Amino acid sequence: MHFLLPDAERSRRVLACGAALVGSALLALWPLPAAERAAGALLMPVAAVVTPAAGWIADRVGAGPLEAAAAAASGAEELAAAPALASWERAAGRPPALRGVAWLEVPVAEVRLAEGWLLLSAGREHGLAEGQPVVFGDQWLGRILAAPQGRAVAELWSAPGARTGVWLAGERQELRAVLLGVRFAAPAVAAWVEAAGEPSPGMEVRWRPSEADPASLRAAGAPFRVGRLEPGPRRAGAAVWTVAGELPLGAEGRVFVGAEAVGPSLVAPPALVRAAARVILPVDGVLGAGWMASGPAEISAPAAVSCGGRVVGEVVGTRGGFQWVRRREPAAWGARALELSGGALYTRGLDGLPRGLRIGSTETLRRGSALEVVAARPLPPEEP
Amino acid sequence: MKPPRWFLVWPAALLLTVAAPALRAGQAGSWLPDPWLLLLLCAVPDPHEAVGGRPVFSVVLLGALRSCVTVASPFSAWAGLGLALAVRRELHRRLVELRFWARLATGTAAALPLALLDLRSADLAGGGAGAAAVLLRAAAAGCVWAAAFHPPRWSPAEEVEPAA
Repeated sequence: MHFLLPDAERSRRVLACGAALVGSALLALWPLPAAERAAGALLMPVAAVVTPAAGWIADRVGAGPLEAAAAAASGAEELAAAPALASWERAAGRPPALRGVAWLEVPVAEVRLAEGWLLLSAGREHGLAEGQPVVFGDQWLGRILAAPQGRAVAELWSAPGARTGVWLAGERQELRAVLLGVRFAAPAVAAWVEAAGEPSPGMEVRWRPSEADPASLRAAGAPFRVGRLEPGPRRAGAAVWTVAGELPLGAEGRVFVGAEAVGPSLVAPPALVRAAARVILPVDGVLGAGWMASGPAEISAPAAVSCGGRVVGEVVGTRGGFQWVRRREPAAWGARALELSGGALYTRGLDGLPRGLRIGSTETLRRGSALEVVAARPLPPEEP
Repeated sequence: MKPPRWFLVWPAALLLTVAAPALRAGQAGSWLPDPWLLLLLCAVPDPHEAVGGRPVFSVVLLGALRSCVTVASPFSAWAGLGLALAVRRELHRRLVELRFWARLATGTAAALPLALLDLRSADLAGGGAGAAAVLLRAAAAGCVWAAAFHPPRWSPAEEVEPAA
């Protein structure tokens, strides 16, 4: 029954359908997480039946070649002897032993280079406190800016506005100076240089302890290097000296924090949580073999999926109770992977993907293959 | 053209959905036209069918089923399928569809929005879907539309035949 004239009723329908189409197109081009969640919840009852059925048929029709599975398995055996990324980072990043200072090993949860911060996955419960030095090997990184419960923020020496006292060590002289961070991508500027001598290009820049640092650190002299002095662009006719800031590769994974009073453990717990899952649909019905669905894994913010201890893809979405996974062969990880000696590939920890997961081949994956869904351990919320 | 009955469309949609990943995983899978799009064009064969009712219900149903077997967003499916009907309607008004090429153009153009939205979905889901393959799927859908859905031919003999 129409309450409007037929033409008006038709126009109303066209308008409503047009608006729905435009809205859907906009949501498809620029997805809103809330809308995606709502649509996923709406489709869940249908997906719970249809997706596994489609996976069953895909498995019956296209079984994976056994030769490929065998080759991948032998490759896995070979890679098993390679050292783990965590051990490599630990070996490369262990600072020099200093009397009276204990080095707390803390995993990095997130690297925020734009802000010049490292978000650490342990806080004051692990002995971290404001002002403590953060290093990687003999490389000075910065200081702890804040250490609430469960998390800490380390400010890099090259962060915008960060001031760091340094020694400029030349062949014949040693000058005191203060570096001022401008922004991470740009070198820090020597805001003040002692007038007792003249800086020269290539001088080694070493961290200089302040009066507020523990006596043991002050007594150690200048054990940590910062970088090399370089001439910058001239400003108002005067020479500007700069020091380029560079984060060591291993420091993207873990850093060492100097503390005087520590608890029973010097190593913060691993920042990962895992849940068991299975391959539900080994191939995407629209986009093809590069994607698959896994589930059910009760885990919040899943990031990656591993099979037999090897990462085979990253989770790109969760819908209808399943995780949708972008499958990646080892060569496809590119700059998001780290290769250690021995050929073992590990995730580098960029774009929300946990660091240090061993990367493996996806060739052996079939419907029902046992998987592990991996997520970064959620950090406690920021305190007001 | 008479639309197929619902009791045929429903099971066909379900069957196509559960078979689609297997078809896509096959040798020529990446070139196959989108089955939900073809089924939609079948389910709503008259380009000038009134807006609402059957077309809307078909788009919602097929879009929902399509989203169950793909990482692509359901909004992408709903928008792509809806735009396919809208594009077909507009082109049908302007082109004489007695010729194969005109129907091919209509079918391909109708399949293009869905193909482009699929490309966007693939980019959002980690990238890697070949643009060439996705666009060729649209062309394949156009070919199927051109070959299978030609309008009834006008016959002068039937026209001049006197009523009995």
